[in-house]
Amino acid sequence: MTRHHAFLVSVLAAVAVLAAPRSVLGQTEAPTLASLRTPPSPAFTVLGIEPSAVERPATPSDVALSFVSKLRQGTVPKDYAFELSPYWLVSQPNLSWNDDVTRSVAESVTRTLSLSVATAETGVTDSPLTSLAVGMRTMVTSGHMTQATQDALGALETMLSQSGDVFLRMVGEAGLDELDKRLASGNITTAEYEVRKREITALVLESDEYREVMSRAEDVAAKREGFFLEVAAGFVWDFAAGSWESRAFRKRGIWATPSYEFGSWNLVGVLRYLDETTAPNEDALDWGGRAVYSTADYALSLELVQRSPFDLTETIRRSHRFVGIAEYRVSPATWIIASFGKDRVKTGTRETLVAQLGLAFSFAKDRYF
Amino acid sequence: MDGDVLVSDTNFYQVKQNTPIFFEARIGNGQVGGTALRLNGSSIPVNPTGPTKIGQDGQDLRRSVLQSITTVKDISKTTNNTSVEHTLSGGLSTEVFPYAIKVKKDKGIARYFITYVLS
Repeated sequence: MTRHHAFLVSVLAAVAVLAAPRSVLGQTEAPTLASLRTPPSPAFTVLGIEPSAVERPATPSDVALSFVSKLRQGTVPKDYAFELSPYWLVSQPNLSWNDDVTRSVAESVTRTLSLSVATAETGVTDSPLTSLAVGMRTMVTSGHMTQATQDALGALETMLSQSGDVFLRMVGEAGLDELDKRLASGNITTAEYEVRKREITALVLESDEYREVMSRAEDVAAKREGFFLEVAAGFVWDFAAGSWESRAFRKRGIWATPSYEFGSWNLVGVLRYLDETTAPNEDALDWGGRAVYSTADYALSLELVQRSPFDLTETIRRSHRFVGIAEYRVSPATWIIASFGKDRVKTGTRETLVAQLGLAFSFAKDRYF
Repeated sequence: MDGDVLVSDTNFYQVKQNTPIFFEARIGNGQVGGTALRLNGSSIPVNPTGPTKIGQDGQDLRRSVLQSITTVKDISKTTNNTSVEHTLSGGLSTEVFPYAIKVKKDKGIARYFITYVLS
């Protein structure tokens, strides 16, 4: 960061701190686009929890073990969080990365489907209540792998093949070539051969020469672009006193997030339907969208969010939020953000102006969803 | 190296007299990897998209040793499973040698170091 940038950041930080109380107080209830996006674990979202420990079984037997151990008590398990991706529970030996460059709808749905289950204590001491939530999330379409990613994976393949050439040469020189001759002529058993082969392998894997070769195997973050449609749903039931017989349906949430990425443009839509039997005033359909034009140094975007409650009254009305956002990068991980626009009307205030200036720190490569 | 795993094995494959064979490696679970081969201590260029010819026409491959290593890097956010299928053909029969192992952590490497004794 240059001295000029450092000064600019300091001034803006001070301005942001001074401006923050008014802006933040005025917007605590406003739904943001990010809050409407398809949640990663719908069951946890509709239940309103962030579990500290989530069971993520990796095999079908792990799934069975998890359920059996939790259901053994004969009641609804308490404070249980579980998430799995059915497609990845078993090995997929026929799926090469080239096969995943493009996906049909069926392939996208099966490869990205995840299921979540959670329980939590939501009652009080005098009236114990256990809530159970189930959810699912999947991508109906998931774009295609970028050409840059395909090129990077192709280069990684070549590099890994070359590292294999080095490895085989080194194990040969370390004595495996001589051992091969004895194996081919039947002067050593396969069991004895394997023991010696593993010893030689360990030596080569620890060698500086081989480690140096493998250090060139850079990580590749596979990136996709094109049209994406992510959908999710979550449902909650309440169980009084932890009894299955006393179950009552409480809440459902449905999300859809279409998006399209091409070049410097990123278009995102959001749709959220919430329906809660115990709090009908909260029932609403929220939808919106954001168009982003971004470069390495700046980004411009427009964001619209509309809230449509199902039961309209004098105090519960349709409202929307429309904001323009400009972002400028002053250092690799520091961005100045300016927002201006109209917020939705909130109870107890007539303020609808959005005018914010602030700093954001982002170390991720992809800043937008 | 941390997170890396190794599969080591030795198999026998029956060849036809004075006839080359073909080797193909298929890497599954959406992971990325590369294969290297050596026949009796000599490196063989590998065709990354299809079968690789092992030996020349008229070459007797009996009592030869084919060393293969397939190095797989975990690039998947959704699984740490890796798998490799080696297919040998052109001999008395076509045989598939499937292997699978899970890397210990994200972005780990699995090495499948498989020896084929040609008989």
